[in-house]
Amino acid sequence: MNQIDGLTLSNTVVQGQGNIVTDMDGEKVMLSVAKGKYFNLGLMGGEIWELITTPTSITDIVSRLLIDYDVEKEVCEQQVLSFLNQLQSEGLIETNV
Amino acid sequence: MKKTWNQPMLETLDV
Repeated sequence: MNQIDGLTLSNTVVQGQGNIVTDMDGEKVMLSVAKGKYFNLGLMGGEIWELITTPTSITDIVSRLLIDYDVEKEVCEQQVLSFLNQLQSEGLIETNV
Repeated sequence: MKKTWNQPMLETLDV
């Protein structure tokens, strides 16, 4: 099982509530109202963010990305997990909903 | 033609 920190590929994630999100020069920028902090998700992060408007398993996220992007599956899994763990640590996503 | 992959990163902005 591919696991980094807490999340695994079998986890389901969804966008957290209470964030204000906008696009700036193609990159997704977010204000966490709860934390009063701004975040830049970048291009790839923005794509992943759009994939979790509804509860989605991380396996499904990776599968969708592998269709569109030239990347090895293992690399994609590790980097997506790492990114989602960052989002989780900042309270920007909900897991296993 | 697949798109180029870049590692997704969460950047905290100092505002």
